[in-house]
Amino acid sequence: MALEIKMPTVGLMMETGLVAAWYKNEGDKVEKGEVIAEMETEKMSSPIEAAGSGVLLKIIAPVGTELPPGGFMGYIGEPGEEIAVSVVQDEAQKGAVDLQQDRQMESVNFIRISPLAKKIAKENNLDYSRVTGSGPMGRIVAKDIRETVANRKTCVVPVTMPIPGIEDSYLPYGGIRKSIGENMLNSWLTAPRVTHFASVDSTEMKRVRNQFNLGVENHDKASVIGFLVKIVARAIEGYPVVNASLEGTQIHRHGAINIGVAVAVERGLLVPVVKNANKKSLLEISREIRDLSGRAKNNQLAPEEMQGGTFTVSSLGAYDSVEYFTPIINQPESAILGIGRMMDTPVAINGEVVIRPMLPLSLVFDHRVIDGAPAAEFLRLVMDVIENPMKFLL
Amino acid sequence: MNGKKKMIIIGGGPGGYVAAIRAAQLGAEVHVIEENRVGGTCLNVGCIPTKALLHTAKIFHHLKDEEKNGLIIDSSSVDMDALMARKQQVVNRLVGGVEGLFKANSITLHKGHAVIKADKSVIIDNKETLKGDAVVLALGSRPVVIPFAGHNLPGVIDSTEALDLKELPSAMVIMGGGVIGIEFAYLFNALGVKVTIVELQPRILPTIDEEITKILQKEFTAMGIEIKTNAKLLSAQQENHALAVLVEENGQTSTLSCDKLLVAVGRTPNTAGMQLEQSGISMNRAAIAVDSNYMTSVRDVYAIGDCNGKIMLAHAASAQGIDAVEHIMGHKVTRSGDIVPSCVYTFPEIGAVGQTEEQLREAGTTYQVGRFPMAGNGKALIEGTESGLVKILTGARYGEVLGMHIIGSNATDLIAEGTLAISAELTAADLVAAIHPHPTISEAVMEAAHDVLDGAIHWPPSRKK
Repeated sequence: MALEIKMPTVGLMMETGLVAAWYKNEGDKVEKGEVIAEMETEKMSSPIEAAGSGVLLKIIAPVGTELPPGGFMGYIGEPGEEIAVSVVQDEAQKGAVDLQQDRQMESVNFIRISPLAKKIAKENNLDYSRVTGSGPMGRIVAKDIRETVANRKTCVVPVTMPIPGIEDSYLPYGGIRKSIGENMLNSWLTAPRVTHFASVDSTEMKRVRNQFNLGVENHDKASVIGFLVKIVARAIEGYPVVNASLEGTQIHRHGAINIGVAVAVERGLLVPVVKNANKKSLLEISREIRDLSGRAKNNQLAPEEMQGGTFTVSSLGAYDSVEYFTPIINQPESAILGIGRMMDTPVAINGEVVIRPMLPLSLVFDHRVIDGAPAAEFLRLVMDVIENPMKFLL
Repeated sequence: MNGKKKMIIIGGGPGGYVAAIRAAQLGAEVHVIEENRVGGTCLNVGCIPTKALLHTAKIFHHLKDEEKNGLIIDSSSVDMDALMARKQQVVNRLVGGVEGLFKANSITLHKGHAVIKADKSVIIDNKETLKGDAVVLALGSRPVVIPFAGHNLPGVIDSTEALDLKELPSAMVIMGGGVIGIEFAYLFNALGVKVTIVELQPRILPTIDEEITKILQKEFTAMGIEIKTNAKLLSAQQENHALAVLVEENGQTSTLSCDKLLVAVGRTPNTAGMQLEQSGISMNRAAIAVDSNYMTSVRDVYAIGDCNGKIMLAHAASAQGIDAVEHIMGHKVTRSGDIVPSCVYTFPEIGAVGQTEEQLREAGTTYQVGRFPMAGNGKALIEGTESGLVKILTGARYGEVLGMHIIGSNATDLIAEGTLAISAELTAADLVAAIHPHPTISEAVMEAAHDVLDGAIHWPPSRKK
């Protein structure tokens, strides 16, 4: 009876092994315990010994084939022993799959995925082997695939896109679209605005956030935006000039620090408000933003949850494109902070060039209420808190 | 943190006691406070005692059928004392079982009434004070009281009292055609009581798929249960030894005479008098407001089961209890989700999970239906439930199971397959691919799945649907 030669498991984390060498050819005699081939993983290589004596009947996985642990590499048997061709092909199909090519469909890697999720993935031509499952024991469920497909649609622009007959189309300018438009125009026509740009070293903020999130459940992790709302609220406490509204003949400097967070939704833009952000913990703010933006996307926000803001934060960081921009002030507030993508950048520190994660900030303010110098001072304070979060936030 | 987390659970019902055991498993020091007996409504005055009585009632009901099948019964009658004693025996044994589990898991049980203070400390009977790392409120619910004229007459009873009747009334009116009212209607009718159901909605069991409830309604009518829908109970009056119940039905009023009027119009969270708002806990009317981890507006205070008003079922409370405790302990949360089956223990039984056809229509979901009548199933025929039906609803595009609705014998057991199918996101094809044992009623589930695809095997194509 033919003996199977299988890809061994080396180390707990091994996903695949590469057939690095065959020391025998088909038909060669092999002795039990003799090294007949070599495999390697990203971390190490290991000899493969014959499990029995006989001849090398068949090599299924030639050098260069990547196999999961237990994948079939070949057979040892009696000289002249026939292996049913179909068995070989079958095993070859089952075991010696070229993962690069066929990983996505009936892969030998056992992937926990629900039948519904599998169907949706197939229909969308999605390689689900890289999707992280949120179901029991990491099983991929329909929600995971739907989210991946949706993200793919928003993030990835195909390089070659078939161009069908391009026709004009007309979309209604009404509802949420129109109300956004009118608010923007109103702000644009009302406020003489100035923008200050600055780039700040966010090494410390990153470090503190990572430390905070260590071992914390995903849904309770502090988000970057959550951290920045906390930081901005702290900075406003120290420098409340920017937390104001022009009301007729008075400038109303607000006692409450209510930070609006701009959220992109399918049909436009909503700005839910984190009330009294300076009095809330980082965890509370992160939770609240997660809840508000989740419901904003599902159109489930109550009007009062989008009112009462005194300062707005708008982040485009997640898009990994924009650095500086000039967001429009959310009236009747007087300032808005735009946050761009964090980028590793060479900077000079103590006369040496080092790489630091730099965060671009754009502070747009209404010059009727805030002058350039105090705005610059406020921005400096925001930068101080970002650079030394422990000092200011504890 | 040093040492064990200390968890205080108020209420020892199916939410609280399951939460307590899970917390002990995860290494917490657990205290449960219960003012009555552990097991809550479910074990003491709900699921378990009703099912104990229903078991005997069903046998009594079936004896009449079995006479046709060759069983000669000289005489049969109901001994209420023995029936009630047996019910109590089952309850006592299960309550004792929970107490035993508490001991085995080193859970401390405190007897008394607990209130929670603003500093999250818990005071028992104004005497003992407990302070822990987290508090789980598992307060349960109680029957809703409707203040109609005569609602406090001695013959007007709620479900708890109905479980403790010393003798059978000759006639009973049941206000409410929900699950509780329907089960009591079957129970008392089977025991020989003339039963009339008064339901305000256009149909009984309004949350169950209408096709299923129509079958039950027909069965009930054939058993002699009178059902009044779109009917409002106006008042009750004592007349000699009977109650005169005034009912308005389609604008016409009529009087029903009965010995007992059972009010079964639903349950309300057991939150009155708990002074929760004084402790800063936000409420949704009578229910405690919670987030997706069952945490209330106060950090480290959780609310599970009936008292948060989400799903008033024992098994939902247990699942929520496990999720909440895992969240408190920083353990990966099981998150049982919202696929909650519901069961009606009449004969025939009803088991339902997922969306009803009415809900799918209303949501505008495109769906497919597969049906298999129990009349095509050998085992169902033997058991005399050929009027039953398995109905499977699937998404039109992918064929995933969206709802399963079963009426027939063993429906409450069979529905577990539907719950698994929906929570594991199985399709009709997966149900067909699983071999079902013969002869069993479970074959009807497989057949209904076949019907979604290309038609059932044991049902002629022309007659299907």
